[in-house]
Amino acid sequence: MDVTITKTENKTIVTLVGRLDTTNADKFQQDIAPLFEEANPDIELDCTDMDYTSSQGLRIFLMLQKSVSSKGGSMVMSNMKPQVKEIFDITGFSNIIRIL
Amino acid sequence: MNRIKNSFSKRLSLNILLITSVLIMLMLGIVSLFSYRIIENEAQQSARNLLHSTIYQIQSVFTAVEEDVKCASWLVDENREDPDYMYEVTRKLADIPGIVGSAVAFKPYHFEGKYYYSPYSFRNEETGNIEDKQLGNQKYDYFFMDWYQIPFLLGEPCWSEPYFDEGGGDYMMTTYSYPMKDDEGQIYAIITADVSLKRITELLESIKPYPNSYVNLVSRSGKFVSFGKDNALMGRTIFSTAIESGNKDIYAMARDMMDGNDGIVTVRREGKKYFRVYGSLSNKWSMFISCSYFDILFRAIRMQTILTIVGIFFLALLFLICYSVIRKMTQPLTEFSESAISIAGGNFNTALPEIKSEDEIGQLKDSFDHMQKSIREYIHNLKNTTQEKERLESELNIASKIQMAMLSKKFPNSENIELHAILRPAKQVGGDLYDFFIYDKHILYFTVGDVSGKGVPASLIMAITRAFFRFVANMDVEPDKIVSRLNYALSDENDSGMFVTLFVGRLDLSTGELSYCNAGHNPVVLNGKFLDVKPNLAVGLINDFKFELQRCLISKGDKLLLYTDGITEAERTDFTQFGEERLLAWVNSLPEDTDSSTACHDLYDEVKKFTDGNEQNDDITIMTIKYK
Repeated sequence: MDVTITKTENKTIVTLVGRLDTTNADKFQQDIAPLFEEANPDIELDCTDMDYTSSQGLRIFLMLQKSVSSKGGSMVMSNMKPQVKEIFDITGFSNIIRIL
Repeated sequence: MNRIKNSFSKRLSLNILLITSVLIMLMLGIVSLFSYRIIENEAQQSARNLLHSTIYQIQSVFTAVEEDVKCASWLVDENREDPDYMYEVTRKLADIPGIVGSAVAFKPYHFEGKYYYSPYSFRNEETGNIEDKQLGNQKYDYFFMDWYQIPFLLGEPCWSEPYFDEGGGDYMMTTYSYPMKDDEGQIYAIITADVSLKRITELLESIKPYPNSYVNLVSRSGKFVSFGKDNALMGRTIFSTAIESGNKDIYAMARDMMDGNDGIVTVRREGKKYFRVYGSLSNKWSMFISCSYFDILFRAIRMQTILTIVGIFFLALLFLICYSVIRKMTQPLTEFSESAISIAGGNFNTALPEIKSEDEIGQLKDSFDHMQKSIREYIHNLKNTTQEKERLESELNIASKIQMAMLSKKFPNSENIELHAILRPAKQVGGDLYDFFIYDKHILYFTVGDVSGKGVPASLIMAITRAFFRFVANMDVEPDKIVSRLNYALSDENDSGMFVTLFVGRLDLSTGELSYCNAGHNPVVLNGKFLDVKPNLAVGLINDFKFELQRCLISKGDKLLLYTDGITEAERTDFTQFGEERLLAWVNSLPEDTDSSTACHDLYDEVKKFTDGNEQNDDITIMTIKYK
């Protein structure tokens, strides 16, 4: 999973490329660690090229969202591929995470 | 081990030997070159000195004769009118050592009536007495003899060419002729002194500065007086031999010598090199000494040979000393090698060789010592770590057994229900769970769940979830209540963000009424089709989430399949997932009468076949239910 963090004027765009599975979930958590410290909390996760996420990935997205919410910001995930969206749907995560 | 074919000490010693040999040879070469020059110069100088001293000696013989004759000339002059007195003079001269005969030869008719008058005295070799005789007569017309004619014509004393005395010995003679002049300057008599060259020849032959050197005395005209070792020279001149030799240097020397000069010439002839020093006497005779370079350098060569032999001896000694010293110095290396083998063999406490020197070997010892300690520590740590790991693994094994023991294995197989389940964790302990029990003989509660993540943390949540399910379901409540309570319990202070996806079902075995609640779990398959399930939300995330209960009626013969995402997301190495389509295809390919247990294992095998040896990266749980 390759992570690119781009800061714009009013939000942070995080581009996610590849698979997020058990082998790289810990690395991914480290990669996005700065986002938990972010003062400007609005985040958009661009999932255009994300192929898969495991349940550990879901947990990390959820924790990020909790962190963002606690600072009064919002987190959205955009351009999700159908097979990834399905994972969010099955687990009910699409009920608690904003997916555009 | 014994791969040392050419030991270090031997190689180093040989190298030192080689370098030293080259240096010594170079030194010997330079020394010989200089010593050759010095020896050559010294030889030439000493030959020159010898030549001059010899010339002086011979000169003195001639000078003495000249002086004697001069003295005699006074007597002749005073008594020139007394013919008989002349015998007194000749006797006196003949009696002088070195002079073998003497004559006073008067011009014709100096004394009245005497055409010839030449009293002659000589030493009789046999008796040793001096005898007299009158020389001139018809047969011996002395006026035409060289010894008379030449000084007479020149008007001054001179030495004759060497000659063999008729009937004389093996030695040559020469005659000193002294002209007597009257008051008008007219020559009236010639005084002669015959001198034997025997002593001179012997003297010259005795002069041998080197074994092969020789001395030649040549007369004014170049005739050989002494022959050195070569009697063939008798009667020949230096010019004839020089021309015969065809050697320019020899001829040039002969010319120079005859001109009365001193000098030295180096000659190569017939592969031999020699030099000649030459000089002249006052009577225009000349002399040269010939010395062979072989003789001169013989000593140097002998010296060099001795030096070489001694050098070789000392080099051999040097080699032995070097070899033994280096061997002694590198002995610790051999011992280190043995220690290393011993250490490699597992004897980490092997004693190292004692080194006290503060050099590279000492440094090696320190490094070796350090290495030994490090290895000891490392092995110690490794042992501890391994023990710790084994302890952990055995604990994990125990945990695994406990976890597996939590799962019901008493699968119901009665006249109206048949249920089977398997759970294969990816690690020793896992986060998947299943459970079931029959309440009041006709209500089947069943659940399949998946805790996010794997391993020990997941297994703890799994244990809690299973226990809680059993606890709540035993109160005979609908699945949505069970899920809600579970959610409430797990959400409380869930800082780790862990969650559980869960499917909980309640089947009334007498009526076929199925009520269920899905908490973010994979949809259940009923008779080869996905059951209509609301996703709701995985439990443990939002404590007041409203979970929706769903109901349906199933008929006898219907089959339910529950599973975790370990099935649908099982992957090949190319990340292709098993997926829902393959799952449904498998279900539909299954024969109608397949029992639950066989179905479980068959699906597991199907997935394994699909992943084709790729490592299982998620826990797998399968539960099959057949309503009869």
